[in-house]
Amino acid sequence: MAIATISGDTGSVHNLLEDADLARTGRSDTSRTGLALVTGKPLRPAPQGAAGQGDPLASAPFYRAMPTAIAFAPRPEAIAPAVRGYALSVSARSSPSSAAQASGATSKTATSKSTGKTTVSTSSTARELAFLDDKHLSIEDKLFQFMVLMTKKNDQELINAMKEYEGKKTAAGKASSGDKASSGDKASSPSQAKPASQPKQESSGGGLFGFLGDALGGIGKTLIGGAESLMKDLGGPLLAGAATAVGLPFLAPVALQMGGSLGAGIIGAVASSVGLGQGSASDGGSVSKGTSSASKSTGLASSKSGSSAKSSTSSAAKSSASATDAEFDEKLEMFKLQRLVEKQGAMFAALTNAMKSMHDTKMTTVQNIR
Amino acid sequence: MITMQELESGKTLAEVQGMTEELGRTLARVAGEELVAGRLEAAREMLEGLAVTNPHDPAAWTMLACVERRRGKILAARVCAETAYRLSPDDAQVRLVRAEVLLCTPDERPRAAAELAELRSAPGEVAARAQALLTALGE
Repeated sequence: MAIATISGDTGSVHNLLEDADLARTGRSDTSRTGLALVTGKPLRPAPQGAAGQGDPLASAPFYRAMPTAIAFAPRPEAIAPAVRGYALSVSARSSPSSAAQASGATSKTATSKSTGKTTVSTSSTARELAFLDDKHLSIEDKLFQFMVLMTKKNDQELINAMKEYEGKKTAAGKASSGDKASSGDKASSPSQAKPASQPKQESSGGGLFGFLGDALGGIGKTLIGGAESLMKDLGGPLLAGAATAVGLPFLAPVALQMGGSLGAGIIGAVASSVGLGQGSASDGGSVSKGTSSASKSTGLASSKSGSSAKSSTSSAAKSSASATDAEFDEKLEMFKLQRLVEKQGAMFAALTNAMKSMHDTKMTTVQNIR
Repeated sequence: MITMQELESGKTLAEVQGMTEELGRTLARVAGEELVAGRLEAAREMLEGLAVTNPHDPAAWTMLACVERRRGKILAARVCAETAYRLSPDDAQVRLVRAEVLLCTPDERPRAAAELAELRSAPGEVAARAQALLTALGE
């Protein structure tokens, strides 16, 4: 029996196995020689005589040749599949996730009915940080993704803050211009009432006579303005000199102090009575206050004289207060932007420091191993 | 990137790399072709990689046992065959390959013969192969 040829050597076993396979299939290779395996028959020695000398066994070899190719190999597709260890295929992966999405959708719908916006924000936050539960990501990857997410959120927050700042600034500008326009329309103070009435005067004339009237009015205004400024400068010394000449030298300092404004007020009152009133910005509230009696006498703004003065001061106070508020808001918004930028920088620094420390730790470990 | 945490949690390289079972079986089939063609080194490299990628796949261990037996590495073949048998003790091909490996060790031949006797009732070419081996053994 051929089993006698097995001596623990792998090659012999291999030959045995291949020969057994050939014996199973009934194939034989008569052109090859070697150790033989004849199934069911004892191994016998080769014939001593020459072949073809009348021995019927001599014409055909009594052994089967050793095969050179493997006759049996396990087929992997016939082997039981792995219980686990492989990644899920796309089809297998899509079905549970779709089921999970469906269940998540239903639960989301169910909860959104009860809780509303809070549920939505919570689910979005959980979705944003879903990578933290991903087992495929290392801690460095998670840290990096967290940093990217936070940077995105901070950027968006910064953009929103800048848009809010722009909106507030535009609204404040509109409000301040609206206050100015409304104060101008109301003509609350004599000094502002005059410019408001100027366009009416200028636009009243039309044609050649209108042009001549406008020109003469401009000249008159210029003259009145010059006279006012001249009287403002020289009124005090002139009045003081007059008081001294009259024999009242003790009134000279008072006259010197009050003469300028009094003279300018007289000129302004006269000009108003004539119809060439000019409100110079340089007159200020003191001039208007000083000329309030003259305004009363002229009757130009007699209807609103006292109360309008009070309202003018109150509106001016309001406008100044609103301007202060706008300025304060601007500073506040700037502080908000600055705080956001600082927050982003701090977060970035903290995360990068953490990553650097982790990297240093690993490098130290590697160097210690070396 | 594969982390130690993933390996500690029992995750295989195939899972980490996203290697599906179809791909693993295809690789094993290609390695089987290499084995039939006699290119044992190529087959061994592929099957070792497959076994490392997913150590839970009995096909990789079974075919690797065949390759190692052909290369004359009886101990390695025995280890691979026993691993495959532990992973899939009821699979006929795994049992057949393990029996063939056991035949290489004189002390284990009775166990191999018993295993082959059981495999005579197995379906397909496994039973024919077992029968042929038993016939060669004189049983």
